[in-house]
Amino acid sequence: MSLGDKIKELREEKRISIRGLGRLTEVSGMHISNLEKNKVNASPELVTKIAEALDADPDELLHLAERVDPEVVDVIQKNPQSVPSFLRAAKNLTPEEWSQMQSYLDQMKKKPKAKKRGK
Amino acid sequence: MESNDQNIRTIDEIEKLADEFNLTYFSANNENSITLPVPVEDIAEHYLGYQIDFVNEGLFSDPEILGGIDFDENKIYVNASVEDHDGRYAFTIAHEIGHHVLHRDAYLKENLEGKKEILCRDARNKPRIELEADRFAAALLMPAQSVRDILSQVNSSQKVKTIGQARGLASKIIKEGELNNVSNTAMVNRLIDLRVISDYIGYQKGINSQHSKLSVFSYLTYRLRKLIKLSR
Repeated sequence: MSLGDKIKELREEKRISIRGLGRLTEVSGMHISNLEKNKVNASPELVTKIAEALDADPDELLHLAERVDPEVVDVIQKNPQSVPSFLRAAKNLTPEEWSQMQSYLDQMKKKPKAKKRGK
Repeated sequence: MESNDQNIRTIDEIEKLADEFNLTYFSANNENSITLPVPVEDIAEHYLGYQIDFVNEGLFSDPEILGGIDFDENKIYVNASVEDHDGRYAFTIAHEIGHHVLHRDAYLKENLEGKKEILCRDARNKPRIELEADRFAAALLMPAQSVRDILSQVNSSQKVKTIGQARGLASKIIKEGELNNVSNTAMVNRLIDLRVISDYIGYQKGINSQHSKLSVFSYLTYRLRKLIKLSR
C-alpha cells in the first residue's frame, strides 16, 4: 500500500475531509489531495502531523513515505558514533531478537539513574 | 443533459426540494429541525457518498471554473482557488448537491451510452440549470424560514436602499445566525431572492434574469457540458 492510499483510507475512516485534514496539518487541501494521489511525497514533519491528526502510527506512515522520523535523525546526530555502530552490530537481528532488545531497553529506562553527588 | 421545458423547475419547486432535502438529512441524523450552518461538506461526502477533491489543472486551471460534479465517478471537484474562501467553498459544494438533486436522474438517463462528462460551475456563464443549482444551493445553505427567523431577531427596521446597507444587513444576519459558511454576497442575493430587499439596488442577477431564458440547449452544448480530461 502506498502512503497516499493509507492516508486516504485513514482519513475516510475518521470521516475527515481533504480540506479538514489540510487544516489540521496546516497545509492546503490541494497538497493533501496530491499526497493521496501519490503525486508528491510528504516531509517527515508533515507525515508526523498527519499521523497525529488521524490517530495513526507515525512509524508506519513514515515507512510508507520512505522517510525517517526527525526524532530518530536527532538521536543519530547526537550520537554520531555509537548509534551507527549499534545499528551495524544489530543489522542481522531477527524480529524476536529486536523485540528482546526493546524489552531490555524498556527495563533499562525504568531503572532509577544514580544521582550525581554534589561537590 | 438536454434541458427541455419538462425539466425546468419553478423557484418554489426548487425551494421546496431544498427544504425537504435539508429536513431529510437532519432527520437521518436524528435532528428534528435544520441546524445552522448546514454542513454541506458532510452532506456531500457522508450522506450522498461523493468524494470531494481539489483540482487546479486542466479545465480547473481557469479559476472561474469553481467546481464540477462527476455522476459516474461520484466525485465533486472544487477548484483549489476556492479552498480558502469558506463561503465560496460551501456554496460550490451546495451547488453541486443541487445538481445531484435536480439534474442527476436526467443526466444518467441521457448518458447511457457511456459518454463521460462533468457538469461545471462557471462563475461567468450561467445557463438555466446552473441558475437552478445556484438557487438550490442558496436555499440549502440559507433556508428561507431560518433567514426570516434570524431577520426578526436582528430587528432591523432600517429600509435597505443601497448596496452598503444590504451588505450591512447581510453581515448582521450571518453573525446572528452563526452562518460561517455563507459569504456576504450570497446572503445579499438570498435577501433579494426572498424579497426582503429589493433587487433595484443593482446586485447580481439571479434565476429570474433574462440571461436564464436564453436557448439552453445551444448554450449547454457550447459551454456547459465539457469533456474534462482530468489527470488522475
